[in-house]
Amino acid sequence: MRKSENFVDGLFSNNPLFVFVLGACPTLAVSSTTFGGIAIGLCTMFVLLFSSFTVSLIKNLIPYKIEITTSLIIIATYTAVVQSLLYTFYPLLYERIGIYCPLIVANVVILRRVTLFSIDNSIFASTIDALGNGMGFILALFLLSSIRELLGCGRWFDIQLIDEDYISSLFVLAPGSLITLGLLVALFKSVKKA
Amino acid sequence: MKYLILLLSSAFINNVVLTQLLGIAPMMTGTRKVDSALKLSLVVAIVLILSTITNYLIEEYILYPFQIQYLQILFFVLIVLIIGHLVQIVLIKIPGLIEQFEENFFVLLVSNSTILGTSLIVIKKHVNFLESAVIGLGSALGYVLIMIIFAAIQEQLRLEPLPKNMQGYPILLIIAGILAMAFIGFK
Repeated sequence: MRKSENFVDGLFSNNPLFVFVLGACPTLAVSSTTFGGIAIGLCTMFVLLFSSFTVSLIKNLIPYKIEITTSLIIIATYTAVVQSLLYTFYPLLYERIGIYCPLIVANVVILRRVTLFSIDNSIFASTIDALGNGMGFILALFLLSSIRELLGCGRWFDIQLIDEDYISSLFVLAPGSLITLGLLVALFKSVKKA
Repeated sequence: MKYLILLLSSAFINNVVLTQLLGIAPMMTGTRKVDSALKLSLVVAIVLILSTITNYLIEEYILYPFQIQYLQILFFVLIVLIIGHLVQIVLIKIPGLIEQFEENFFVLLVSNSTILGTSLIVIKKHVNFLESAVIGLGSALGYVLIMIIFAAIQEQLRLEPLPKNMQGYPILLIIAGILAMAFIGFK
């Protein structure tokens, strides 16, 4: 597969959130505002990019039996790095994301890309792959959180667009996120087929 | 009485899966039969309770006194890996149980955010040891309950005609959303 195809693959045709519903746990809860959604998407992309790079760098040193364990520890290290960076430079954002920032380690998108792709591909290829998947993830989260913020609070990027009387707080809560994602996945399926 | 309320509240009102949205992925990709869902989620529940207690002790007696809380998530991942491995060693003695699990089931327990999430919630709440154990037990009960409900719904769902684009994940997500609506009613 060519490198550019690799990038588009993760961005659209195999979008991690819309096609496989991966990494839904740490993201759904934060995606009630557009800022929160993009922030957690960027953090996830950071961890994905660096752990893909590291794993493909040391792939010849990792014994076959403990591939997943090693990958998990590398991912956890980068998650700790992101957590410290957020805590130091963006404390308000850190408060907003809360426990879902360390839970990036439990995001299956990262583990899947690292153990399926980076472990037996070159550094350059796995970086491109991580970029594609990360961008696809951010795009999906942007869509999801835009819809939720618009329908749930009437705002978009903290700008009031819809009057308070016409909003439904259901979309800010847990059920709204699940139903919105379900409808988006169905929409994505039909768009992809067309 | 206080502990009973805490148990019920962490199992129903603050249900890990449907109100905190932790562990949606295992719910989606999980098994479609009630009996195997029960077995799988009981294993997860055992690991959840053990790792919540261990992580609480780690935080209280290692991370906090030495002021190395920035290593929290690294420690927690290691603890879950070790406990998963220990549970596997014990369960392998029971014949006919372990064969139906995937090869890497116990390693992949780390990517089940219910387990890590409960530990993080417990630590954020600043509770004592007994309360943390009760919250762990309550979350485990809530998790098992949701998994069984969901597997039962999926068994019925196979018989229903559905539009092609709604089959698979979309309808499961919407069902989970409606279930979550029911759990909001507990508040």
